[in-house]
Amino acid sequence: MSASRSASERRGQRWSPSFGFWTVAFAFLIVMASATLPSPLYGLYRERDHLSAFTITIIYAIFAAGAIGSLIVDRFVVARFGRRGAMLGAVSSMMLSAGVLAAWKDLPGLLIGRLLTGVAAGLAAGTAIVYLIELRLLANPAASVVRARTVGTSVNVGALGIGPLMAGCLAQWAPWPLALSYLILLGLGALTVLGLLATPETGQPALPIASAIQARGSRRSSRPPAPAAAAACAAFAANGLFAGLSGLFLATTLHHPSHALAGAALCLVFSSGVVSQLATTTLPASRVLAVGTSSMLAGLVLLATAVRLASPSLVLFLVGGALIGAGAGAVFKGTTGLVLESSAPVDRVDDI
Amino acid sequence: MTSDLLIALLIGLSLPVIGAGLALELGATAPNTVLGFAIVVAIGISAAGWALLGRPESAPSPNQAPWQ
Repeated sequence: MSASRSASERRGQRWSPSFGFWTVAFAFLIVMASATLPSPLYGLYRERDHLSAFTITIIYAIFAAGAIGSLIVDRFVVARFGRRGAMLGAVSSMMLSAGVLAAWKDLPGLLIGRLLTGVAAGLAAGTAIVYLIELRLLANPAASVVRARTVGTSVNVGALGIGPLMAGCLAQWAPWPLALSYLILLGLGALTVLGLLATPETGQPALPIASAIQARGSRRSSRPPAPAAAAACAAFAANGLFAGLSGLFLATTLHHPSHALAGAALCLVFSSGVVSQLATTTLPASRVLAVGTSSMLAGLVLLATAVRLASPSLVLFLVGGALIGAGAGAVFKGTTGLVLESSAPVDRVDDI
Repeated sequence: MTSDLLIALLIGLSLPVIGAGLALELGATAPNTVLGFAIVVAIGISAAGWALLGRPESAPSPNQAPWQ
């Protein structure tokens, strides 16, 4: 306790690491929620800007370009500005993207806004879980990292479902369907920035860039094998189909144009992923991967069946989505566990 | 390693759906697009799972390691 207090005093913080922990978790949540928030709104964008299904998928997918770019440079950002600086950058980018998406009512605004959303998500995804673990250890050096990591991974996937649920419900029942969700994100972001400013720094900012590049070079051996990357890619491809096109399928094939239903369907998919990750904490990684793969295959069969029936079935569509989401969460968890088990102990510690 | 897996996750979350959007743009029906997408994903996830579960273990695998 005294050790953590003296560490706190050294960093000149005003709030405890525990408060900082939940502030960072909330920051992570709103940034990741923004990544899928526009999904139930694509039907409205389609009507407003006369967009094709292909353009909608481009708008949805362009965020990955920003996210991948910021994940690649994230290590350098953390080395220069610290973990708190990286999270502040993530929330600021999210607020900028929300402002652009709310105010710039045209296709270029959508593309730029989504790109900025990706930058924010990449920065947060690359920083938040390690930051949460370090804050947990700062509050209690003897604490297990498992809880912090579970909170981080659950927020990571769960927030992807919360964003569309909020946007879908607001679009269905509140005014300004294409602006209100983003304005709420802006407000939450402003509050979170204040919280982050009072959160302790755990990293070592202002490290020379050369050192960061050297550190990156020394970690090349810890890259995951191709099957692991392929598993992560395939697992979330089906989730991406829901995030990008489920609103369109619900409206055109299943004849349910409700924005709230589109958001709820996505929330079901991603929250199933959280449930499956939490429900498999006692299983070995290989079993988690096997269960997740089986769940995904069953979900894909139900999904394809749901839209091909003479009278397409909403229930089958949703059950299929839940199984796919649960399977994707388990596959990602099992894959990560298998790779960590087979890597050298020094790499395991590095990857926590 | 985690960043690389996150990048793979993001690629999976975003790029394949562009293929689905392109298929719809080229005139494929929604049911056919979903069926084709499901088949491709099912093959991908099965092959990756098979490869991962068939890998020789290079380190002991504790049931509940602290990093899990």
